[in-house]
Amino acid sequence: MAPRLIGWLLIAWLLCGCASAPATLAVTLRYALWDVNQVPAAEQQIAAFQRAHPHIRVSIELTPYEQYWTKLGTAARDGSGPDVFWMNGPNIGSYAAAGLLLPLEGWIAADGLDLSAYPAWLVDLYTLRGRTYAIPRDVDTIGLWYNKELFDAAGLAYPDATWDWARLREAAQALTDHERGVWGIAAPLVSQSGYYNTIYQSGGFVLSPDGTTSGFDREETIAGLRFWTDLIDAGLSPSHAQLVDTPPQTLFQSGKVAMLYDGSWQQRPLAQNEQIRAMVDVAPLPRGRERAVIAHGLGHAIAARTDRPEEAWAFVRYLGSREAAEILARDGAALPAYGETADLWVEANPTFNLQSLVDALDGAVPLPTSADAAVWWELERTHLTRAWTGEVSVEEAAALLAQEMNRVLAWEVLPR
Amino acid sequence: MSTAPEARRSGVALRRGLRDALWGYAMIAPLCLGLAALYLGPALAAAATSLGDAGRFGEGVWVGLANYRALLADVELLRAIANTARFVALTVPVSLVWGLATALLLHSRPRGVAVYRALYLLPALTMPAASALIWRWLLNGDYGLLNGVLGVLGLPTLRYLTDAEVAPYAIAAVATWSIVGPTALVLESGLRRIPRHYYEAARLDGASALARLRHITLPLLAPTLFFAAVVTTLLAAQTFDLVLIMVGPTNPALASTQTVLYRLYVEAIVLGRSGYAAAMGTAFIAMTMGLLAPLLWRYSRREFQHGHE
Repeated sequence: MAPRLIGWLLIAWLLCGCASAPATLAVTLRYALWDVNQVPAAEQQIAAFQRAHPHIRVSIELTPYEQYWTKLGTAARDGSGPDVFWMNGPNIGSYAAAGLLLPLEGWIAADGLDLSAYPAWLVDLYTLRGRTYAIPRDVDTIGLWYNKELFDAAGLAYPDATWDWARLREAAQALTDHERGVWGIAAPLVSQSGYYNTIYQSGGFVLSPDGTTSGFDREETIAGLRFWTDLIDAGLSPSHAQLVDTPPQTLFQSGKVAMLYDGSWQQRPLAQNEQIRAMVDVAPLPRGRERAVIAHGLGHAIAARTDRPEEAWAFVRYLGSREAAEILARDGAALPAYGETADLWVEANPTFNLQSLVDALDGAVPLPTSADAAVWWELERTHLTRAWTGEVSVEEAAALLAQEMNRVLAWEVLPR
Repeated sequence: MSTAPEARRSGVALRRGLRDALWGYAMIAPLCLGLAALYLGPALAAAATSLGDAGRFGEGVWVGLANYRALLADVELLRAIANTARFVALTVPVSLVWGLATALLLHSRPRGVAVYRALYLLPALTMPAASALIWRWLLNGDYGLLNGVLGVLGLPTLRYLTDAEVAPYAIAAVATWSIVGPTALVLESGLRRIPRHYYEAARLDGASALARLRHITLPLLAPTLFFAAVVTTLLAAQTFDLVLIMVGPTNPALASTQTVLYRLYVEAIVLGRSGYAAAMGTAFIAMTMGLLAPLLWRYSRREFQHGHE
């Protein structure tokens, strides 16, 4: 009786021990991101990472972009946020200044990580005052997406690298058919995939290199804005009110708009849409006075208050490696920042002419941003809306915008 | 209790009174603790934040009443207050009248009254964000169902959500649509408390339906109407999700539709100015309470004296 009881107790104790031993060694990292299209690639990367590091588990926390920063900011403040998370240009300044990010240059040096694998401008974006706060993940550029069927019906040759603004306008003219409710191009009020590109193509700028002056009151910048308002005035694009009512992507995918400036991130959702993929392709942006394309890229950052910094660094280092980049490239959801994997991205996603998006990286303009970008972006929306609706002239709206933007820039605390 | 002899009052009655009072406090304690923790606490914390210039992540230095002074100079905010006032003026009367008409109809117990009641309640039970998205689609200027139907009938179509003149009315209409159901329900329960024999007596005296409405229904329904009016006003004043979803930041109609809480969202979340936004919120609470509290106080005392439930 007693030996039997002791025997059972021993077995029970052993089982409990077996169950808990790995659990006490296993570490769980929380990884936050915002794009549902990129979850499959992230899961593959995590699976590969977990095979190499069996004692680290990673759990994904997906939050739609609109709520991502609110949630992250609130949680990061009291240390209850994710350990590793996506970071972008507009937010790196304020997060770094608030001490919410772990500086990584110590680890980078200790592990001998070579950052030249990534575009220099992207590494710079995430390096402030000599401290590196994020490892680049991907790059994105802007392309001219067009509807092949509408081009064929109008007997026009597809857009290519020789196109300039005049050619674009001619094509838009030929493609616009008000009877059938079709416009040649969409001219929405968007910065990164819209007017920022044409501003730099005109030889203007949004923010001076030292980050202290707005470029909106310059003649060249205004010419870049007029590119869009002229299209609306000429009836080649839906009106601003129409584009606010119905998103330009919806119009484009429904065949109501023949051309659309949009980002490389649209590649995968479009390629997965059976009705659309055969009908659509992408070409380089037409040149203005100069050739320019806005480029940006996300990075992986570590929360300053994480209680697992070593494991978090192991994960971030893996995510920035060639192996992780190849997984991302094959998936197609994003173009990895790891330069040498670009060809893999193009080859693995033959649906569209992705080479034109990769080529745009040469001489691309990094997305203009500053610590208080959120404030002057809101100013852009307020002032340029009145220009897009025709309520005021572009010159007047741009002048007012520059004035207020300069005031905001003068108050900014964070020098680069 | 009032019939107890004088001699007993100082003894048993007093202890019983105390015990009743303690039970009373015990009963309301959970609610009060909840209110204190989830409403009063954060409200006081927000008031504290409003006295500093906290940015996106909470740190800030003391600035005293500077944020409140800035509120008075904020043109966008003043316009938002006007928009909110117009919104309340559009939504509350319409929903009260419509709610009353519906309540009277429901009260007359037609066949299938339960079905009608459920249909009227559905909008209020739907998530506000979901309703807003569906209405945004229905009211789409080019491809929306409403314009589609009007176009087929040869009637003029409007840009409901992007025309600065029309958008406030469109949003008020959607808000009214979602509020009418619960309003009707509340008013119907108020109608049920009116004794039937008043109506019978009035009918015997030859009073018309209109006269019965004017002299019996409305006066006796007044407390419930008042309650419905207060709740509807508060809800209408706090409109935010409809504006956020149906009207976006680059919408030409934003200037004429943005409400006080929408401005608060822009300041707090988009621009990251927590201190200023907290001042806006605290001022808003103070203003609302300042307007409603005297009314509620005066009315509740009057009710108490008249002995109505």
